Amino acid sequence: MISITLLDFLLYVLIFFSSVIILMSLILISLRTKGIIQDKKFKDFSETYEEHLFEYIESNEHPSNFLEQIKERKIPLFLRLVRDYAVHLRGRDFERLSGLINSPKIFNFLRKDLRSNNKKRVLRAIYFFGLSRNQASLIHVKEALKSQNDVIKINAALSLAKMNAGNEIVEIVKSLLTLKHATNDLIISILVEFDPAICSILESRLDIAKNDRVRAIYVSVFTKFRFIPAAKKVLYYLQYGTDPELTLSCLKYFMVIEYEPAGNALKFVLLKSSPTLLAYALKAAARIGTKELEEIIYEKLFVESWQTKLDSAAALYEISITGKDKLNKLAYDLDHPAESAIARMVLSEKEISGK
Amino acid sequence: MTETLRTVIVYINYAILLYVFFLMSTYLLLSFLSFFGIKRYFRKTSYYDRRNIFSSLNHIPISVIVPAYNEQNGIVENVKSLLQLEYPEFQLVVVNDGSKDSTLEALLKNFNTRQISFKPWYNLKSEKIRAVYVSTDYPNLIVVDKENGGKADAINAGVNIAKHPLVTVIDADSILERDCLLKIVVPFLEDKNVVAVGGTIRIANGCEIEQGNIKSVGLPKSILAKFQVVEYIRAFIFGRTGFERINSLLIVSGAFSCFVKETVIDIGGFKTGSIGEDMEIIVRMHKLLRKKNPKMKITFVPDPVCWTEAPENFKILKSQRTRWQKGTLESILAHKELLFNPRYKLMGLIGFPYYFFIEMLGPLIEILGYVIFIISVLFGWVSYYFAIVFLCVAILYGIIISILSIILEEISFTKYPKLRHLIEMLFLCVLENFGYRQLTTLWRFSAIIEYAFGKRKWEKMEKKGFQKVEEKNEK
Repeated sequence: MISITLLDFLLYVLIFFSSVIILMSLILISLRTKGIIQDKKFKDFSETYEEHLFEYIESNEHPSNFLEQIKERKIPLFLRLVRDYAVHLRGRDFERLSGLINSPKIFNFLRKDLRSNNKKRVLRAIYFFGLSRNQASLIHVKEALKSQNDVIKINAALSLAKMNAGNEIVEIVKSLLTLKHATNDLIISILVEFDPAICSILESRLDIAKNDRVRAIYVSVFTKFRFIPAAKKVLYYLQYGTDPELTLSCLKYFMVIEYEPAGNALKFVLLKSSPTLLAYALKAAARIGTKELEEIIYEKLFVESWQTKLDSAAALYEISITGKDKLNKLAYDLDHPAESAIARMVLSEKEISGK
Repeated sequence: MTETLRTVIVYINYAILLYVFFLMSTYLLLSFLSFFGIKRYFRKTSYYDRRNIFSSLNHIPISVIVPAYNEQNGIVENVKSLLQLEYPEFQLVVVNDGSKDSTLEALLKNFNTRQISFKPWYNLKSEKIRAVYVSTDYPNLIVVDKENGGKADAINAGVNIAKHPLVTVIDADSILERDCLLKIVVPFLEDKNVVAVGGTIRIANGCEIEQGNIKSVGLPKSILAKFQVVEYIRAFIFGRTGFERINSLLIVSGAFSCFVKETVIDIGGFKTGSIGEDMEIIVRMHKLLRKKNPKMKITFVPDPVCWTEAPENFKILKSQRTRWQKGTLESILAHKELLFNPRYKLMGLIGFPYYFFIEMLGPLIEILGYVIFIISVLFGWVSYYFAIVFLCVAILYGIIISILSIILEEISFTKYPKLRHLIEMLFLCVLENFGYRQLTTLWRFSAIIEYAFGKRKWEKMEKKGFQKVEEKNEK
């Protein structure tokens, strides 16, 4: 017989596991029930106040008068309702809605939230301060930027961007760069929440930026806003920058703004780049379209990498009529079967798609 | 003689007990890893809008490869749905793998295609490509017609034609969430060492489907499919998220996965004729690429991004599980030198041994355990009382793991909207231990035997198609 001690142990385990299952099931059901109750409360609240809210938006009623009917404990539900509509409203309607958030009753409620130890409440406050673009709350949100919590920090940065707090840009970028999981894309997505006017500030800071990673981020913001005044500076970094990420950002920038003076710098990128950079350099060259670039693109058709051949053929097709003619000629050149096949492939695809 | 047999059997019982303990510890470790994995995923993704990120040219273009074999019934609807994917730059490459039905004709007719030239040399070996077409209505839709060579071969042909740096492989009959590409590309943007990303697959049976999109999520009516709902949640949320945390993911689903194209080409593409091509390529990637780049990563997106049809009858389910088990055997045995190999770090020391002993040999050990246990009880070497208690402990532990997965699902994605769904899933966590698990173990066991005796052919799984699922729901 197997030892009785083991059996006793198993019996205890059995009791323990059964209790765990019951407990877990209860937790699961209570989690869902809590959610259902909250949804029900919100539904009831919406049914009661939704119409009033629309009447308020359309009228000239003072925000404080409207908020008198909302009890203190119902403010979280009210904020949820506002949040649902805020994303869809524009212009005067949005102004009316943000007027409610800026009214003393809600503003003070959110300030209390911001000082809370509850992360969700802090995030709610940061979100609504950002939404209302209330400059009076700027100082409070700026404090949240120093939080040890990454989510709070990111949301604070996002809110400051929505408030268009250009003076805080250095602090925002510095703070975001300290995050463990901050990709450039995340930082860019926050910076593009500023007004396009932020580009002038970023341009003035481009040379004194901490490193090329930060410069690459700034250039991506210029790209998003199609900010042409920065072209000269960006061109400098395309010519002399050594960081591939920065070069890539510069290439994308010139691809979008189609800046002809960048042609010469592009020539050098085309001559000595990695395949990834080359792909973008070819696209940018196709857009800028100088005669000199056309020659280099044609030469690139004869390199070993088939991807570069393909990108070059596509660029040659787009750069000019003569480029397209060259491609047509190459398509029937029996001395260069690989290049000829690529040319035929690109021609047939482009002509069908009507590009 | 009897005494010796008794001693042997008692020792085997102890060994099985040890195995169960090992299994439980692994699951416990995985559950912790998954919990933190999902928490980390939410921390990273909850605070920004992906569409904003991709609006500033910071995206990597993707070629979506759809291998199709005899899919005439659903292919047009599925392609239409795939063309609606939200992504700034993607190409859809539908590969007709020498279908015997009118899959190709349906595609050519419905998308107004015209034949184009294509490069006559291949990066990856595949059966002959007969023709390549591009749609005049949708310039990003490419149809490749090739001779039949199986799913892996069709994917390789798709890679040959794909022009973007990332390739996503999907099943022709899967339903993708519209923002799935925006989600699956994020790991590639975050870390240049990422070479492959798997997506989460969920069961579409019971969901309301409209024009190739999931309109509302529900549980299937068939009990077999219901069990699979719980199984999939457990496997993806709890299993894969856990392994991803220690970079030991040995499989990404063939129904939805994304790769760096150059990497796929470097390692020679998908293995043609393979039973489990999705697992094989990942194990091979670990084996070949980690030597070159120890930081190489294969990762996973826990957000449910792809919905697939689950078998609703025993015959099809058996065929699916047999194929999966044979695929695991094939991939693990082909790369067995990874077992406990410290050069491959946690993957060699934890991930691969898990797949070797639990996923591959698990059914053998489990069946052996049942047989030995029954013999021990019948001969009185183990008391009935002990047997029942032990069995209950094992079952309860299984239930705990399943409920943990459901809790993780509840606090993260909450895809099943009704309380009824949740309660039903709780019951399924218990119920699956009485017959369903044993049955699937038995099928996997017989797959091991078949594999050992040389029956290793890939068999296509029969599916009803979503339209029929829709019709059934309407009824």
